[in-house]
Amino acid sequence: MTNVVPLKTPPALAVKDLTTGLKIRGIWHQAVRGVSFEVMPRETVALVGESGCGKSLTAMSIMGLLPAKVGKVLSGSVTVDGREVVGLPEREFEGLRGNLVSMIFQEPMTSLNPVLPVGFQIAETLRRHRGLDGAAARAEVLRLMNRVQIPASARRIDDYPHQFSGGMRQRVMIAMAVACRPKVLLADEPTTALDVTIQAQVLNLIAELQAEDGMAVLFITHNLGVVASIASRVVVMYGGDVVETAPVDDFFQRPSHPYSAALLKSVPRADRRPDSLEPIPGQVPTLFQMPDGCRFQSRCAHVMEVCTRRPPLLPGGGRPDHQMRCWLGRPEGGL
Amino acid sequence: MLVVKDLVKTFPVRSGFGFSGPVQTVKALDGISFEVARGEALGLVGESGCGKSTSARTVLRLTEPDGGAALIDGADLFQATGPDLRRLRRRLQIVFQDPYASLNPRRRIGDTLAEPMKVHGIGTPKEWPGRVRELLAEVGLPAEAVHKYPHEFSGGQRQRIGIARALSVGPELLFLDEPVSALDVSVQAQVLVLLNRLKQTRNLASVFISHDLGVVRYFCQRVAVMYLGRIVETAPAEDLLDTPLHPYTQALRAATPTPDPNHKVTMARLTGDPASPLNPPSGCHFNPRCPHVMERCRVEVPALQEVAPGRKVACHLMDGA
Repeated sequence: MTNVVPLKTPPALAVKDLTTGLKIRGIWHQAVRGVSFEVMPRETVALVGESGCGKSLTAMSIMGLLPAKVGKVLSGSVTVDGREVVGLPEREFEGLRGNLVSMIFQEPMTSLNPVLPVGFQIAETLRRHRGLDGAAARAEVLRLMNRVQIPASARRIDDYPHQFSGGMRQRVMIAMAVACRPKVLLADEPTTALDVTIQAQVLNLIAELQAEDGMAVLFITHNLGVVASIASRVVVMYGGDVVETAPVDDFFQRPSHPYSAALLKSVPRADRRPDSLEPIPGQVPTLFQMPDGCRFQSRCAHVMEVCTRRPPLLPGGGRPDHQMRCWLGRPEGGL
Repeated sequence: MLVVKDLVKTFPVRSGFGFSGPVQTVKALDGISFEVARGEALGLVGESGCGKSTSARTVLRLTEPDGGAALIDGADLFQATGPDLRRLRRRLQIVFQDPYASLNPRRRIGDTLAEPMKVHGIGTPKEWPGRVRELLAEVGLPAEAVHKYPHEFSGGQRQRIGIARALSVGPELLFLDEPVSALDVSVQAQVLVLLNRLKQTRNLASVFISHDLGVVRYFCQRVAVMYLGRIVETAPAEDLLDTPLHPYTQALRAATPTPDPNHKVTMARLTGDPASPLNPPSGCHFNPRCPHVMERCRVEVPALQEVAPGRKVACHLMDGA
C-alpha cells in the first residue's frame, strides 16, 4: 500500500461558532449557539433535530434570510466557497443566492408563484445570474427540466405549479436551485411532505445531481432513516446546540449523546421486530424556559450536578471525528 | 367484531374553469373488504390518495357509502337509522391527524370532552366532570386542563385530548387516522406508547391509518396495503414487512428509510407517480409502475386471494407460484 497523503481540499461550506439570535417580546434569545461544521464538495451532511432545535434557523443564517428586525447573526462566521457571507450587504448577497448557494424547502407549493408558468420561474434564475434570455433561456430551462427528470418537459414548460404533483413540484424547485450549478445546496426537509416512493426518487435525483456537479449538500431533516440513507456525516442539534457530530456509520453504531441515543430508541422501525419503544419524557423547553448549561438536562436520564455547566464538545463514539456535547463519563467536569 | 364488505365510494368531480365542466366520477374505494377482531389493531397503509382515510370516513358514515356493508357484530351500520345508528356509532370513534383542526379553539377542554357524553346521553350532567377528570388522567394530562383552551397545549398534548374525546363514549373500536404523523419523533413515541397501553387496558380494537411502516409495525398485528382504492395485500404485520409479496408492497418497503446505514433505501425502484384516481389504468391499477408487469395485468383485475394462511395478495404473479 502506498502512503498517499490526501491534499486538503477547502470545504464548500464552513460554519464556525455561529450564534443566531431571535428577538421575542423585546428580548434577544440565542436560538443557535456556537454551531460549527463543514461540508466538503460532493459531501452530504445531515443536520438533524426536532422542531425548534435551530436547524432551519441555521440554514436561514447561512442564506442570509433571517427575518429582519427579529433575527440576526450575533457572532461567528459562515464561508461559502471561501467567501465570508456574514454581514454581507443584501445587494451582494443577492448575487450569491441561487448562484453560489441555493436552497430547497419542504413545501414547494408555497415557494412557487401560483400564477406564473413553471418554465418562466425556472428561467428567472437564468436571467438574473447568467444573463440568459428568450430562446436561449427557454432551451436551458428545457435542459434543466430534463435533467431533473420531469417527463414531457416540452409540453409541461408552460404549465402552472398546481398542474404538477408534489413530487414533480419538488423537481421544479430543484431545477431552479441547480440552474447555476451552485457550490452548496441547502435542502430543508425537501422530502418530508412526499410519499415514500416519491421521496426515494427525489433523494436519488439529488444524489445524481451532486455526483455530476460536485455540490456540497446540507440536508436538514428530522428523519433518521433518511440520514442513514444519504449522509456521510451527521450533526445533531438540540435547543440550538450541536450536541453530537459524527461520521454516519459511527453515529448509528455508537450514538453517544443521551439525546441522540434516546432519539434512536424512540423511532419505530420498519425493519425490526418491535421492542418496547422508549419515548423521551417531557418536551423541548421553549426559548424562555431553556436551562443554562446543557439544554437537554431537564429530559436526560443521566443528569448530574455538573450538567448546569455547559459542556464543550468532547470525544464520543469510537472515532476521533466523533464528538458530543456531554459530561457523561466526566462527572467532575474535568477535560 | 367489525366486518367491512365490498365498500364502494365514488365522488363526483367537476373539471374545467369555475368547475363548469362535465361531471366525472372518481372511484375512491373500489370494493374493499376487511375485518377487525376485538382488541386487534389493523394497519391500513398506502400513499396519499389511495383511499385509506376515505375508508374510515365511509365506514363511520361521515360520508355516505355508495355500496357495500359494514357490520358491527352483525348489525349493518349502513342500514341503521335514527337511534339505532347512534347506538352503533357510539361503539366506533375516530381520532384525526391534526388535533388542532379537530378541536374547537373557543371551547374549554372540559366542555369538549363532555360534549360526546351529552350527545349520546351517557351519565348525568353531575357525573360528567368526574368522568372528564378520569379521561384526562387516563391519557396523561393534568386535571387543570379542564379549564384551558386548545391553543394552550402542545401538539402531543392536543393529540391526547383528541384521544380522550374519542374514548369519552366508551368505544370498542377506534379509527386512528395518521394520529402521530404531525408529531416530532420523541412526542410521537409518547403517543404511540399511550395508544398501545389503551389498546391493552380497554381491549380496544383499532384501524390504524398510516403511511409510516415503522409505526404500523410497532402498533398493528395485521396490515392491509391499499393502492388506488383497492386492497392489494393483507397479512400479519411481521410477515408483510419481512417478506412482502405484492410488487407494490415490496416497493413501499424498499423505499422506507430505516436508521441503518448498511441498508440504504432502494432508490428509484418505482418510476413515475401513482396514476390519477380520475383515470385509473385498466386491469391492475399498479401495472404502469410495476417491474414485473405482464400482458394480462393490463386487462384483468387480479382478485385478492389467499396465498398462505392469513395472507392475501391481489397479483397475477401469485398464480402458479
